[in-house]
Amino acid sequence: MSSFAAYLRLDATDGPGLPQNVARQLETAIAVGLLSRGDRLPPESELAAELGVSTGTLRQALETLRQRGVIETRRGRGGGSFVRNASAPLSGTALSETALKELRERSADSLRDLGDACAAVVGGTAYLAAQRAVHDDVERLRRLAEQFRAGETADDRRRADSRFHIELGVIAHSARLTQGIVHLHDELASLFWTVGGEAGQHPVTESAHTALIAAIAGNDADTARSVVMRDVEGRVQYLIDLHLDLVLRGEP
Amino acid sequence: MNDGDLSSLRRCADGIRARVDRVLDDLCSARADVVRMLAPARRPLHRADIAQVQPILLAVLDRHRGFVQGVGLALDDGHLDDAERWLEWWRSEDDTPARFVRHELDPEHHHYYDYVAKEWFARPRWTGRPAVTGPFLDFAGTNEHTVTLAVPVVGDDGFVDVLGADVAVEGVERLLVESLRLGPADAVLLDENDRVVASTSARWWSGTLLRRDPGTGWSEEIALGGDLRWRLTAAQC
Repeated sequence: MSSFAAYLRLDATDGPGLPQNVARQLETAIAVGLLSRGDRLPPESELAAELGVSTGTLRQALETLRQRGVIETRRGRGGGSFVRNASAPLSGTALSETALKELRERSADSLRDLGDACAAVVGGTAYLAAQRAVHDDVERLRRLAEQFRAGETADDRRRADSRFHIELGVIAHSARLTQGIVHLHDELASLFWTVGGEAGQHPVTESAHTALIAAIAGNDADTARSVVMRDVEGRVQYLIDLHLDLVLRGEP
Repeated sequence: MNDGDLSSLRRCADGIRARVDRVLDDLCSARADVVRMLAPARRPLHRADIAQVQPILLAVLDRHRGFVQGVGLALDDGHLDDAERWLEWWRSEDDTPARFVRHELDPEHHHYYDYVAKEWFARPRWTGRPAVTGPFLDFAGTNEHTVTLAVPVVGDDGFVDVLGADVAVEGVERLLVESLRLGPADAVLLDENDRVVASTSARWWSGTLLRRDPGTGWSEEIALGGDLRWRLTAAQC
Protein backbone atom coordinates (compact mmCIF):
# COMPACT_ATOMS: atom_id res chain seq x y z
CA MET A 1 0.00 0.00 0.00
CA SER A 2 1.23 3.53 -0.73
CA SER A 3 2.43 5.10 2.47
CA PHE A 4 -0.09 7.91 2.05
CA ALA A 5 -3.10 5.76 1.15
CA ALA A 6 -2.71 3.92 4.45
CA TYR A 7 -3.50 7.18 6.21
CA LEU A 8 -6.56 8.20 4.26
CA ARG A 9 -9.66 7.57 6.25
CA LEU A 10 -12.90 6.99 4.44
CA ASP A 11 -15.92 7.19 6.70
CA ALA A 12 -18.17 5.41 4.21
CA THR A 13 -17.27 3.02 1.45
CA ASP A 14 -20.45 3.51 -0.50
CA GLY A 15 -23.20 6.04 -1.15
CA PRO A 16 -23.70 9.28 -3.06
CA GLY A 17 -21.32 11.39 -0.93
CA LEU A 18 -18.41 9.03 -1.41
CA PRO A 19 -16.66 10.73 -4.37
CA GLN A 20 -16.67 14.02 -2.40
CA ASN A 21 -15.34 12.20 0.62
CA VAL A 22 -12.52 10.64 -1.43
CA ALA A 23 -11.74 14.03 -3.00
CA ARG A 24 -11.64 15.69 0.42
CA GLN A 25 -9.33 13.01 1.82
CA LEU A 26 -6.96 13.33 -1.14
CA GLU A 27 -6.97 17.10 -0.68
CA THR A 28 -6.11 16.63 2.99
CA ALA A 29 -3.29 14.27 2.01
CA ILE A 30 -1.88 17.07 -0.14
CA ALA A 31 -2.44 19.75 2.51
CA VAL A 32 -0.59 17.83 5.19
CA GLY A 33 2.25 16.86 2.88
CA LEU A 34 1.51 13.15 2.41
CA LEU A 35 1.49 14.07 -1.27
CA SER A 36 3.73 16.87 -2.50
CA ARG A 37 3.30 19.24 -5.40
CA GLY A 38 4.45 17.53 -8.58
CA ASP A 39 3.85 14.00 -7.21
CA ARG A 40 2.27 11.58 -9.58
CA LEU A 41 -0.74 9.73 -8.17
CA PRO A 42 -0.63 5.92 -8.43
CA PRO A 43 -2.51 4.44 -11.42
CA GLU A 44 -6.30 4.73 -10.99
CA SER A 45 -6.93 1.00 -10.60
CA GLU A 46 -4.20 0.71 -7.99
CA LEU A 47 -5.28 3.78 -6.01
CA ALA A 48 -8.94 2.71 -6.11
CA ALA A 49 -8.00 -0.72 -4.76
CA GLU A 50 -5.90 0.80 -1.99
CA LEU A 51 -8.72 3.10 -0.95
CA GLY A 52 -11.26 0.31 -1.24
CA VAL A 53 -13.50 2.22 -3.66
CA SER A 54 -14.55 1.50 -7.24
CA THR A 55 -12.61 3.07 -10.10
CA GLY A 56 -15.81 4.92 -11.05
CA THR A 57 -15.94 6.60 -7.63
CA LEU A 58 -12.24 7.43 -7.79
CA ARG A 59 -12.64 8.95 -11.26
CA GLN A 60 -15.44 11.20 -10.02
CA ALA A 61 -13.26 12.29 -7.10
CA LEU A 62 -10.32 13.01 -9.41
CA GLU A 63 -12.59 14.99 -11.74
CA THR A 64 -13.65 17.17 -8.79
CA LEU A 65 -9.99 17.74 -7.90
CA ARG A 66 -9.16 18.58 -11.54
CA GLN A 67 -11.94 21.18 -11.63
CA ARG A 68 -10.66 22.72 -8.42
CA GLY A 69 -7.16 22.88 -9.91
CA VAL A 70 -5.70 20.58 -7.26
CA ILE A 71 -4.43 18.01 -9.75
CA GLU A 72 -3.73 17.99 -13.45
CA THR A 73 -3.69 15.15 -15.93
CA ARG A 74 -0.91 14.81 -18.46
CA ARG A 75 -1.26 12.53 -21.46
CA GLY A 76 1.22 10.32 -23.22
CA ARG A 77 4.42 8.68 -22.05
CA GLY A 78 5.16 9.56 -18.44
CA GLY A 79 1.60 10.84 -18.16
CA GLY A 80 -0.91 10.40 -15.37
CA SER A 81 -2.49 12.53 -12.64
CA PHE A 82 -0.15 14.91 -10.86
CA VAL A 83 -0.53 17.13 -7.83
CA ARG A 84 -0.54 20.56 -9.41
CA ASN A 85 2.61 22.56 -9.29
CA ALA A 86 1.48 26.04 -8.31
CA SER A 87 4.09 28.66 -9.25
CA ALA A 88 6.50 28.84 -6.35
CA PRO A 89 6.35 32.52 -5.31
CA LEU A 90 2.55 32.48 -5.24
CA SER A 91 1.99 29.11 -3.62
CA GLY A 92 2.71 30.28 -0.06
CA THR A 93 0.25 33.15 -0.28
CA ALA A 94 -2.38 31.08 -2.08
CA LEU A 95 -2.02 28.35 0.53
CA SER A 96 -2.37 30.77 3.40
CA GLU A 97 -5.39 32.45 1.75
CA THR A 98 -7.08 29.07 1.47
CA ALA A 99 -6.18 28.30 5.07
CA LEU A 100 -7.49 31.69 6.27
CA LYS A 101 -10.72 31.08 4.42
CA GLU A 102 -10.99 27.64 6.00
CA LEU A 103 -10.24 29.07 9.43
CA ARG A 104 -12.92 31.72 8.99
CA GLU A 105 -15.50 29.12 7.98
CA ARG A 106 -14.76 26.87 10.93
CA SER A 107 -16.19 27.52 14.37
CA ALA A 108 -14.35 28.18 17.61
CA ASP A 109 -16.14 25.10 18.92
CA SER A 110 -14.74 22.86 16.17
CA LEU A 111 -11.23 24.25 16.74
CA ARG A 112 -11.53 23.55 20.45
CA ASP A 113 -12.79 20.06 19.61
CA LEU A 114 -9.81 19.40 17.30
CA GLY A 115 -7.52 20.72 20.02
CA ASP A 116 -9.07 18.42 22.64
CA ALA A 117 -8.54 15.35 20.48
CA CYS A 118 -5.00 16.44 19.67
CA ALA A 119 -4.09 17.17 23.28
CA ALA A 120 -5.49 13.80 24.40
CA VAL A 121 -3.92 11.71 21.63
CA VAL A 122 -0.53 13.41 21.34
CA GLY A 123 -0.34 14.04 25.09
CA GLY A 124 -1.23 10.43 25.90
CA THR A 125 1.30 9.22 23.36
CA ALA A 126 3.99 11.43 24.91
CA TYR A 127 3.14 9.90 28.30
CA LEU A 128 3.65 6.36 26.94
CA ALA A 129 6.73 7.38 24.96
CA ALA A 130 8.38 8.70 28.13
CA GLN A 131 7.85 5.31 29.79
CA ARG A 132 9.09 3.32 26.80
CA ALA A 133 11.99 5.35 25.39
CA VAL A 134 15.56 4.07 25.33
CA HIS A 135 18.66 6.08 24.47
CA ASP A 136 18.40 5.63 20.68
CA ASP A 137 14.78 6.84 20.71
CA VAL A 138 15.76 10.07 22.43
CA GLU A 139 18.59 10.57 19.93
CA ARG A 140 16.16 10.24 17.01
CA LEU A 141 13.86 12.76 18.63
CA ARG A 142 16.77 15.19 19.07
CA ARG A 143 17.66 14.88 15.37
CA LEU A 144 14.06 15.63 14.40
CA ALA A 145 13.99 18.70 16.68
CA GLU A 146 17.22 19.77 14.99
CA GLN A 147 15.50 19.49 11.60
CA PHE A 148 12.78 21.79 12.88
CA ARG A 149 15.36 24.37 13.99
CA ALA A 150 17.11 24.12 10.62
CA GLY A 151 13.84 24.64 8.71
CA GLU A 152 13.97 27.73 6.51
CA THR A 153 10.33 28.15 5.56
CA ALA A 154 7.00 27.78 7.36
CA ASP A 155 6.42 24.70 5.20
CA ASP A 156 9.72 23.13 6.33
CA ARG A 157 8.80 23.78 9.94
CA ARG A 158 5.28 22.43 9.56
CA ARG A 159 6.60 19.16 8.17
CA ALA A 160 9.40 18.88 10.71
CA ASP A 161 7.00 19.61 13.57
CA SER A 162 4.59 16.91 12.40
CA ARG A 163 7.40 14.41 11.89
CA PHE A 164 8.67 15.18 15.40
CA HIS A 165 5.26 14.42 16.90
CA ILE A 166 4.73 11.30 14.77
CA GLU A 167 7.97 9.96 16.27
CA LEU A 168 6.27 9.94 19.68
CA GLY A 169 3.95 7.21 18.37
CA VAL A 170 6.96 5.30 17.03
CA ILE A 171 8.70 5.54 20.42
CA ALA A 172 5.51 4.37 22.17
CA HIS A 173 5.46 1.34 19.78
CA SER A 174 1.80 2.15 19.07
CA ALA A 175 0.51 1.78 15.52
CA ARG A 176 -2.92 3.30 16.13
CA LEU A 177 -1.61 6.28 18.04
CA THR A 178 0.91 6.93 15.28
CA GLN A 179 -1.91 6.90 12.78
CA GLY A 180 -4.02 9.11 15.06
CA ILE A 181 -1.22 11.67 15.29
CA VAL A 182 -0.84 11.71 11.52
CA HIS A 183 -4.49 12.73 11.24
CA LEU A 184 -5.05 14.97 14.23
CA HIS A 185 -1.73 16.68 14.63
CA ASP A 186 -1.36 17.23 10.91
CA GLU A 187 -4.78 18.82 10.70
CA LEU A 188 -3.97 21.18 13.54
CA ALA A 189 -0.41 21.82 12.40
CA SER A 190 -1.29 22.44 8.76
CA LEU A 191 -3.81 25.06 9.85
CA PHE A 192 -1.50 26.55 12.44
CA TRP A 193 1.63 26.89 10.33
CA THR A 194 -0.14 28.04 7.16
CA VAL A 195 -2.12 30.87 8.72
CA GLY A 196 1.07 32.39 10.08
CA GLY A 197 1.14 30.78 13.51
CA GLU A 198 4.87 30.44 13.17
CA ALA A 199 5.59 34.16 13.40
CA GLY A 200 5.19 34.31 17.15
CA GLN A 201 5.05 30.62 17.99
CA HIS A 202 8.14 29.28 16.26
CA PRO A 203 10.40 29.83 19.33
CA VAL A 204 7.59 28.58 21.59
CA THR A 205 7.46 25.35 19.60
CA GLU A 206 11.24 25.06 19.80
CA SER A 207 11.21 25.28 23.56
CA ALA A 208 8.25 22.87 23.75
CA HIS A 209 10.31 20.37 21.72
CA THR A 210 13.26 20.86 24.09
CA ALA A 211 11.11 20.44 27.20
CA LEU A 212 9.46 17.33 25.76
CA ILE A 213 12.81 15.73 24.87
CA ALA A 214 14.05 16.39 28.41
CA ALA A 215 10.93 14.81 29.92
CA ILE A 216 11.19 11.75 27.66
CA ALA A 217 14.92 11.37 28.29
CA GLY A 218 14.17 11.46 32.02
CA ASN A 219 11.29 8.97 31.68
CA ASP A 220 9.02 11.63 33.19
CA ALA A 221 5.65 10.65 31.72
CA ASP A 222 3.50 13.25 33.51
CA THR A 223 5.70 16.16 32.44
CA ALA A 224 5.87 14.85 28.86
CA ARG A 225 2.10 14.80 28.67
CA SER A 226 1.56 18.22 30.20
CA VAL A 227 4.21 19.83 27.95
CA VAL A 228 2.32 18.55 24.90
CA MET A 229 -1.08 19.54 26.27
CA ARG A 230 0.07 23.08 27.03
CA ASP A 231 1.64 23.40 23.57
CA VAL A 232 -1.58 22.26 21.87
CA GLU A 233 -3.57 24.65 24.07
CA GLY A 234 -1.39 27.54 22.91
CA ARG A 235 -2.00 26.68 19.28
CA VAL A 236 -5.74 26.35 19.72
CA GLN A 237 -5.79 29.70 21.55
CA TYR A 238 -3.98 31.30 18.62
CA LEU A 239 -6.31 29.74 16.05
CA ILE A 240 -9.50 30.69 17.91
CA ASP A 241 -8.23 34.26 18.33
CA LEU A 242 -7.55 34.48 14.62
CA HIS A 243 -10.87 32.86 13.74
CA LEU A 244 -12.79 35.37 15.86
CA ASP A 245 -10.85 38.26 14.36
CA LEU A 246 -11.76 37.04 10.87
CA VAL A 247 -15.42 36.61 11.74
CA LEU A 248 -15.98 39.68 13.93
CA ARG A 249 -13.76 42.21 12.22
CA GLY A 250 -13.58 40.82 8.70
CA GLU A 251 -9.79 40.94 8.47
CA PRO A 252 -7.16 39.86 10.97
CA MET B 1 11.29 -22.57 39.32
CA ASN B 2 11.53 -26.34 38.95
CA ASP B 3 13.62 -28.19 36.37
CA GLY B 4 10.54 -29.07 34.34
CA ASP B 5 9.56 -25.44 33.94
CA LEU B 6 13.09 -24.45 33.05
CA SER B 7 13.35 -27.11 30.40
CA SER B 8 10.00 -26.14 28.93
CA LEU B 9 11.28 -22.55 28.83
CA ARG B 10 14.37 -23.84 26.99
CA ARG B 11 12.27 -25.79 24.51
CA CYS B 12 10.22 -22.68 23.81
CA ALA B 13 13.37 -20.60 23.27
CA ASP B 14 14.68 -23.28 20.89
CA GLY B 15 11.37 -23.30 19.05
CA ILE B 16 11.38 -19.54 18.44
CA ARG B 17 15.04 -19.65 17.46
CA ALA B 18 14.33 -22.50 15.00
CA ARG B 19 11.40 -20.63 13.42
CA VAL B 20 13.49 -17.49 12.93
CA ASP B 21 16.46 -19.52 11.65
CA ARG B 22 14.27 -21.19 9.03
CA VAL B 23 13.41 -17.77 7.63
CA LEU B 24 17.01 -16.53 7.81
CA ASP B 25 18.28 -19.72 6.10
CA ASP B 26 15.69 -19.26 3.40
CA LEU B 27 16.73 -15.62 2.95
CA CYS B 28 20.33 -16.85 2.56
CA SER B 29 19.39 -19.25 -0.23
CA ALA B 30 17.19 -16.59 -1.83
CA ARG B 31 20.20 -14.27 -1.67
CA ALA B 32 22.22 -16.75 -3.73
CA ASP B 33 19.37 -16.88 -6.27
CA VAL B 34 19.24 -13.09 -6.44
CA VAL B 35 22.99 -12.82 -7.04
CA ARG B 36 22.79 -15.51 -9.73
CA MET B 37 19.85 -13.87 -11.44
CA LEU B 38 21.44 -10.42 -11.50
CA ALA B 39 24.91 -11.66 -12.57
CA PRO B 40 24.30 -11.47 -16.35
CA ALA B 41 22.61 -8.01 -16.17
CA ARG B 42 24.65 -5.12 -17.52
CA ARG B 43 26.09 -2.71 -14.91
CA PRO B 44 25.03 -0.26 -13.62
CA LEU B 45 21.78 -1.98 -12.68
CA HIS B 46 18.33 -0.50 -13.33
CA ARG B 47 14.99 -0.89 -11.61
CA ALA B 48 13.85 -3.13 -14.46
CA ASP B 49 16.68 -5.57 -13.61
CA ILE B 50 15.57 -5.65 -9.99
CA ALA B 51 11.96 -6.36 -10.97
CA GLN B 52 13.16 -9.78 -12.19
CA VAL B 53 13.80 -10.97 -8.63
CA GLN B 54 10.09 -10.77 -7.82
CA PRO B 55 9.49 -14.57 -8.17
CA ILE B 56 12.33 -15.25 -5.72
CA LEU B 57 10.78 -12.87 -3.17
CA LEU B 58 7.29 -14.28 -3.63
CA ALA B 59 8.57 -17.83 -3.16
CA VAL B 60 10.04 -16.90 0.23
CA LEU B 61 6.79 -15.17 1.17
CA ASP B 62 4.86 -18.27 0.14
CA ARG B 63 7.02 -20.69 2.11
CA HIS B 64 6.55 -18.69 5.33
CA ARG B 65 2.92 -17.74 5.02
CA GLY B 66 1.32 -17.20 8.41
CA PHE B 67 4.59 -16.00 9.94
CA VAL B 68 6.15 -13.61 7.41
CA GLN B 69 3.99 -10.82 5.90
CA GLY B 70 6.49 -9.05 3.69
CA VAL B 71 9.69 -9.90 1.80
CA GLY B 72 11.84 -7.54 -0.19
CA LEU B 73 15.16 -6.37 -1.49
CA ALA B 74 16.40 -2.97 -0.28
CA LEU B 75 18.97 -1.46 -2.62
CA ASP B 76 22.11 0.20 -1.36
CA ASP B 77 22.46 3.99 -1.78
CA GLY B 78 23.42 4.70 -5.39
CA HIS B 79 23.38 1.05 -6.50
CA LEU B 80 20.85 1.67 -9.28
CA ASP B 81 21.36 3.93 -12.25
CA ASP B 82 17.76 5.16 -12.52
CA ALA B 83 16.93 5.65 -8.82
CA GLU B 84 19.01 6.79 -5.86
CA ARG B 85 17.26 4.21 -3.67
CA TRP B 86 14.78 1.44 -4.27
CA LEU B 87 12.71 -1.00 -2.26
CA GLU B 88 11.48 -4.00 -4.21
CA TRP B 89 9.11 -5.07 -1.45
CA TRP B 90 6.17 -7.45 -1.60
CA ARG B 91 3.55 -8.07 1.00
CA SER B 92 0.78 -10.54 1.62
CA GLU B 93 -1.46 -10.89 4.63
CA ASP B 94 -3.89 -13.69 5.43
CA ASP B 95 -3.71 -15.59 2.14
CA THR B 96 -4.32 -12.50 0.01
CA PRO B 97 -2.31 -12.38 -3.23
CA ALA B 98 1.05 -10.66 -2.78
CA ARG B 99 1.21 -7.01 -3.80
CA PHE B 100 3.99 -4.53 -4.39
CA VAL B 101 4.48 -2.07 -1.53
CA ARG B 102 5.07 1.48 -2.65
CA HIS B 103 7.33 3.40 -0.27
CA GLU B 104 7.89 7.14 -0.23
CA LEU B 105 11.57 7.51 -1.14
CA ASP B 106 11.69 11.25 -1.83
CA PRO B 107 13.68 12.93 0.99
CA GLU B 108 11.61 16.12 0.60
CA HIS B 109 8.54 14.14 1.47
CA HIS B 110 6.76 14.28 4.77
CA HIS B 111 6.47 10.52 5.03
CA TYR B 112 9.84 9.75 3.55
CA TYR B 113 10.94 6.22 4.36
CA ASP B 114 14.64 6.70 5.07
CA TYR B 115 15.37 2.98 5.09
CA VAL B 116 19.14 3.31 4.73
CA ALA B 117 19.20 4.93 8.18
CA LYS B 118 16.98 2.23 9.73
CA GLU B 119 18.62 -0.38 11.91
CA TRP B 120 17.14 -3.31 9.98
CA PHE B 121 19.03 -2.13 6.89
CA ALA B 122 22.10 -0.53 8.45
CA ARG B 123 23.11 -3.39 10.75
CA PRO B 124 23.34 -6.23 8.20
CA ARG B 125 24.77 -3.66 5.74
CA TRP B 126 27.68 -2.81 8.08
CA THR B 127 28.27 -6.07 9.93
CA GLY B 128 27.93 -8.30 6.88
CA ARG B 129 25.88 -10.68 9.07
CA PRO B 130 22.22 -11.62 9.27
CA ALA B 131 20.31 -9.42 11.71
CA VAL B 132 17.04 -9.54 13.59
CA THR B 133 15.76 -6.03 14.40
CA GLY B 134 12.86 -5.08 16.58
CA PRO B 135 10.23 -5.00 17.72
CA PHE B 136 9.84 -1.49 16.29
CA LEU B 137 6.95 0.56 14.94
CA ASP B 138 7.83 0.75 11.27
CA PHE B 139 6.35 4.15 10.37
CA ALA B 140 6.00 4.64 6.59
CA GLY B 141 7.13 1.03 6.10
CA THR B 142 4.77 -1.67 7.37
CA ASN B 143 3.18 0.87 9.76
CA GLU B 144 2.92 -2.01 12.21
CA HIS B 145 4.71 -3.33 15.25
CA THR B 146 7.30 -5.30 13.38
CA VAL B 147 10.36 -7.50 13.63
CA THR B 148 12.56 -7.52 10.53
CA LEU B 149 14.84 -10.44 9.66
CA ALA B 150 17.50 -9.45 7.15
CA VAL B 151 20.66 -10.64 5.40
CA PRO B 152 23.20 -8.57 3.45
CA VAL B 153 23.61 -9.19 -0.28
CA VAL B 154 27.19 -8.37 -1.23
CA GLY B 155 27.58 -7.66 -4.92
CA ASP B 156 30.69 -7.87 -7.09
CA ASP B 157 30.34 -4.12 -7.72
CA GLY B 158 31.03 -3.09 -4.12
CA PHE B 159 27.43 -2.33 -3.17
CA VAL B 160 25.65 -4.10 -0.32
CA ASP B 161 21.90 -4.55 -0.65
CA VAL B 162 19.73 -6.08 2.06
CA LEU B 163 17.22 -8.89 1.67
CA GLY B 164 14.61 -8.77 4.40
CA ALA B 165 11.44 -10.35 5.77
CA ASP B 166 8.86 -8.62 7.98
CA VAL B 167 7.26 -10.54 10.83
CA ALA B 168 4.39 -9.02 12.82
CA VAL B 169 5.10 -8.98 16.55
CA GLU B 170 1.86 -10.88 17.07
CA GLY B 171 3.38 -13.77 15.10
CA VAL B 172 6.18 -14.06 17.66
CA GLU B 173 3.60 -13.78 20.44
CA ARG B 174 1.69 -16.71 18.96
CA LEU B 175 4.85 -18.84 18.91
CA LEU B 176 5.53 -18.01 22.55
CA VAL B 177 2.00 -18.55 23.82
CA GLU B 178 1.41 -21.76 21.90
CA SER B 179 4.67 -23.40 22.91
CA LEU B 180 4.25 -22.45 26.57
CA ARG B 181 0.61 -23.36 26.96
CA LEU B 182 1.49 -26.00 29.50
CA GLY B 183 4.66 -24.42 30.87
CA PRO B 184 5.48 -21.63 33.32
CA ALA B 185 2.72 -19.02 33.29
CA ASP B 186 4.69 -15.80 33.44
CA ALA B 187 7.30 -16.04 30.68
CA VAL B 188 8.67 -12.88 29.11
CA LEU B 189 10.61 -12.61 25.86
CA LEU B 190 12.94 -9.59 25.94
CA ASP B 191 14.97 -7.78 23.31
CA GLU B 192 18.46 -6.32 23.82
CA ASN B 193 16.99 -3.15 25.40
CA ASP B 194 15.00 -5.10 28.00
CA ARG B 195 11.91 -4.32 25.95
CA VAL B 196 9.13 -6.91 26.03
CA VAL B 197 8.71 -8.66 22.67
CA ALA B 198 5.90 -10.86 23.96
CA SER B 199 4.85 -12.40 27.25
CA THR B 200 2.42 -14.93 28.64
CA SER B 201 1.25 -12.60 31.41
CA ALA B 202 -0.94 -9.50 31.36
CA ARG B 203 1.62 -7.89 33.67
CA TRP B 204 4.12 -7.35 30.85
CA TRP B 205 3.03 -5.80 27.58
CA SER B 206 4.79 -6.00 24.24
CA GLY B 207 6.62 -2.80 23.34
CA THR B 208 7.04 -1.69 26.97
CA LEU B 209 10.30 -1.72 28.90
CA LEU B 210 10.49 -4.44 31.54
CA ARG B 211 9.99 -3.09 35.03
CA ARG B 212 11.77 -5.27 37.52
CA ASP B 213 9.60 -4.80 40.57
CA PRO B 214 11.46 -5.60 43.79
CA GLY B 215 8.84 -8.18 44.77
CA THR B 216 9.34 -10.36 41.70
CA GLY B 217 12.11 -12.91 41.35
CA TRP B 218 13.25 -14.05 37.93
CA SER B 219 14.44 -17.36 36.58
CA GLU B 220 17.77 -17.58 34.82
CA GLU B 221 17.67 -15.89 31.42
CA ILE B 222 17.85 -18.13 28.40
CA ALA B 223 19.59 -16.44 25.47
CA LEU B 224 17.96 -17.48 22.21
CA GLY B 225 21.37 -17.25 20.52
CA GLY B 226 22.28 -17.26 16.87
CA ASP B 227 21.39 -13.94 15.26
CA LEU B 228 18.79 -13.20 17.94
CA ARG B 229 19.74 -10.88 20.77
CA TRP B 230 16.59 -11.89 22.62
CA ARG B 231 16.31 -13.61 25.99
CA LEU B 232 13.52 -15.61 27.54
CA THR B 233 12.90 -15.51 31.24
CA ALA B 234 10.09 -16.32 33.67
CA ALA B 235 8.82 -14.60 36.80
CA GLN B 236 8.93 -16.66 39.99
CA CYS B 237 5.42 -16.34 41.25
